[in-house]
Amino acid sequence: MRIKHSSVWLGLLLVLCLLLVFGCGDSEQATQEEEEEQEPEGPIKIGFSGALTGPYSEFGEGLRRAYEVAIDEWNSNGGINGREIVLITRDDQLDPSKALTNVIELIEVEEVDLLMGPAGSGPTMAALPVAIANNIIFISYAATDEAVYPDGIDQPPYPNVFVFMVLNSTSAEALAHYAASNFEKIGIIVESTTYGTDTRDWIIHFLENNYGITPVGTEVYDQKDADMTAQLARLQRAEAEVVLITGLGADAAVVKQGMNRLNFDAHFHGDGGVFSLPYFEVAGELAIGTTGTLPTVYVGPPVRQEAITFSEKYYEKWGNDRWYGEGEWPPPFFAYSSYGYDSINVLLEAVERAGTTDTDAVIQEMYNTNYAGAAWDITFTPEKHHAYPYEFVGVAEITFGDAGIAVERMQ
Amino acid sequence: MFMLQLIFAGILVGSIYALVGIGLNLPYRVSHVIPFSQGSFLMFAVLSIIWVISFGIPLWLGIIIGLIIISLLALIQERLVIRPVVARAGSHSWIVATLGVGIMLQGFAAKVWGARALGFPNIIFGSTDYLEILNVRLSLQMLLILFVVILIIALFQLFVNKTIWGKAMKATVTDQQVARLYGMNVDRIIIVSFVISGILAGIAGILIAPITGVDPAFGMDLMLKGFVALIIGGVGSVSGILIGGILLGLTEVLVSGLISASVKNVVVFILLIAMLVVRPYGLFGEKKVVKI
Repeated sequence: MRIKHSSVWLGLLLVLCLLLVFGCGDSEQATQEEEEEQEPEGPIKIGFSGALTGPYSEFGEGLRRAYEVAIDEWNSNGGINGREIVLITRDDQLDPSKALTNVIELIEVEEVDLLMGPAGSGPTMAALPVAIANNIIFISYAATDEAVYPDGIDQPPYPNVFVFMVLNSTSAEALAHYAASNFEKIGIIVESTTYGTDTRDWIIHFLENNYGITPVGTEVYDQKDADMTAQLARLQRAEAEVVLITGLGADAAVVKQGMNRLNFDAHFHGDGGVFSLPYFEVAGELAIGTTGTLPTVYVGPPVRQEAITFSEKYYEKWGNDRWYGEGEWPPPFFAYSSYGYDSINVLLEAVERAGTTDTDAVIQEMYNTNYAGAAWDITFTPEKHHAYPYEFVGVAEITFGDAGIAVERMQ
Repeated sequence: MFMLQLIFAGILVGSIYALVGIGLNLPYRVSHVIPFSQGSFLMFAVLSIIWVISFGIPLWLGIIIGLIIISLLALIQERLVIRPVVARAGSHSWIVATLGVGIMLQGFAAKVWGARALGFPNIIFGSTDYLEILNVRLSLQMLLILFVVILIIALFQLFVNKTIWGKAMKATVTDQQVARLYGMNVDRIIIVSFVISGILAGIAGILIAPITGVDPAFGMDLMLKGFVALIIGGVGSVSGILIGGILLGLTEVLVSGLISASVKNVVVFILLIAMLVVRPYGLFGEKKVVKI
C-alpha cells in the first residue's frame, strides 16, 4: 500500500499543532496561576470610612489620628515585607448611607486589602453586609453585639469581623453589677437611640438573670432634650435609690440638674458619658459624686506602660489636640484613640505573620494574636471576636480635690 | 404634687419652643419665608460667644458681639440666599436653601470648634438655682426664659404699634405692593425682619445653652418644635405662639409623665397633622383671604 507523503506531513503537522496549542496552553495557564499566587506588588491598602467632618467627627477623626501614629511606625520600620502601608480614608459623617457607598468604593475602586469600619452602630450595620459579601477583613468599632455576633454573643461571630469596642452587653453587665452590688431599687434612664435602648435591655437582662432584681423604673429621653422632669419624676415616685444612665455627657448633665431641682437624691451612675468634658462643663459642681463604669485606661495617669507609650507617641505627632486635651495626661475618652491604635497594630501583625493579605490566612493569624495593647492584652479565638472583655471595664468616681474636679478609679 | 411638677415643667419647656417659634414667625409674616436655618443660628450665636469670651472678653461684651455676628449672618442669608432664590427659582425653593444654610453652618462650626458639646456660662441664674412654688421646685433659668418670652411679646407689640418701622412692617405684611406704592422700602423692611429673627435665635440660644450645653447639632430639634408651636398657635399671632408652645410643652411632658417618653413625639406630630387638617391657620392665626 502506498501512502501519500502529503497526508503524512499533514498528519504530523496536525499533531504538532495540537501539541503546541495544548502545551502552550498548559504553560500559559501555569504561569498565570503562579502569578495569581504571588502577592500583587505595591502598598498594602487599608480602607477607612469614618466621621472625619461634621458633628460626629470626634469619633472618626480620633481614630484616623491613632492609625497615622501606628502606620508611621510600621513604614519607618520598612512596612511589611517591604510593602508600604497606605491608609485610604473616606468621610461618612456617621451617616449609614454614606458609610455604605464609601465601603463599596473602597473595595471596588480603591481595591483595599483590609477595612477599618466606621465608628457607630448605624454606619457599621449599613457597611457590614458589603464587607461580608466581599469576604474582606473588617475591623468594627460598633458597640452593638449584633455587629459581630449576628445570633447572639454565645453564637459564632462573623468570620471576617473583629470588634475593638466595649460591647453594649459588656458595658451593661458592668453597670448592672455596680448597681446590684450597692442598691436594691434601681432606676434606668437611657437615650432613645439604638445604643441607649440596646444597653437598657441588656442591663435589665443582667439584673434579672444574675441578681434577681427588676428595675423600679425605666425611662428614655431624646438626645438634647432641654428638660427631663417627667421621666425623673416617675423614677422619683418609684423611689429609685440609684439612677443608671446611658447617654451623652451633655444629656447626663441635664438629667443631673433635673434630679437636683426635684430634690431627688438618688445616686447617679453612668457609662463613659458622665466622664466626658460636656458633663463636667454643663453639670458643674453637681458632677461631683457621680460614678460610672468605663475603660479606666486613661483615668488619671495611665497604669499600663503600653498606654503611656502610646500617649507619648500620640503627643509627639499631634500635640495637645482635641483628643489629647490640654493636660499632661489625656482624658478618659482617649481610650477610644487607643482602640484605633491597638486595632491597626493587631491587624498588621496578623498580616505580617500570614505573609499575605488573603482574608482566610489573616483570620487564622488573628487567632494567634497575643498583643499587649495600649488599652488591654488582646487575644481572639474562633468563638470570641471582641477585644475587650468584662474585666476591661472599671469603676471611677468624679471627685473634687486641690486641682478641681477630677476622676478617680474606684476599687 | 406629681401632676403639678409635670404641669409646671410643661409650661416652662413650652416657653422655650415659643421663643424659637416667635423667631420663625416674623420673617414668614413679612416675606412668606420660614428660615429653617434658625436652629443653626441658635447654635452659631452661642458658639461664637464661647469663642469670643475664650480670649478673655467679658461675657456681656461677648453676648453683644455674638448677636452682632448672628445679625450679619441673617442679613447675608437674606441678601445672598433667600432673595435670589425666591426671585429666580420661585416656588418653595427657599425651604431647601435655608435648610442648606443651616447644614453649612453646622459643618463650619464642627470644623472650627469641634463636635464636642461645650458648656455655656450661667446667665443671671445658675443651673441649680430654683424657686419653690407649692412644694414644686422650678428652675430659675427656665423661669427666666418664660419671662423673656413675655417681655419679647410686649416689646414686639410696642414696636409694631408705636414705631414707624413697626407700622411699615405691618403694612408690608398686609400688602407688599401697596406698601411699595406708598414709598416704603419693603426690601429693607424684609431685611430688618430677618435680622430681628436672627437676634431672637441668638437670645434663645443664650438662654437655653446654660441648661443643655451646645454642640454643632444644637438647635435643629428646637427649630422643629418651634415650628410646631408656630403652627399650633397660628402664624401671625405672637401671643398665640406662646400658647401654642405651652400646649406643645404640656403635651410632651404629660405624655412622658403619664404614659411614656417614647411616645411623646408620636403624639406631638399627630397633634400637628390634626391641626394642619382641621385648622391650618392655627388656634389664633388669621384666616388668609386672597383678593381676586
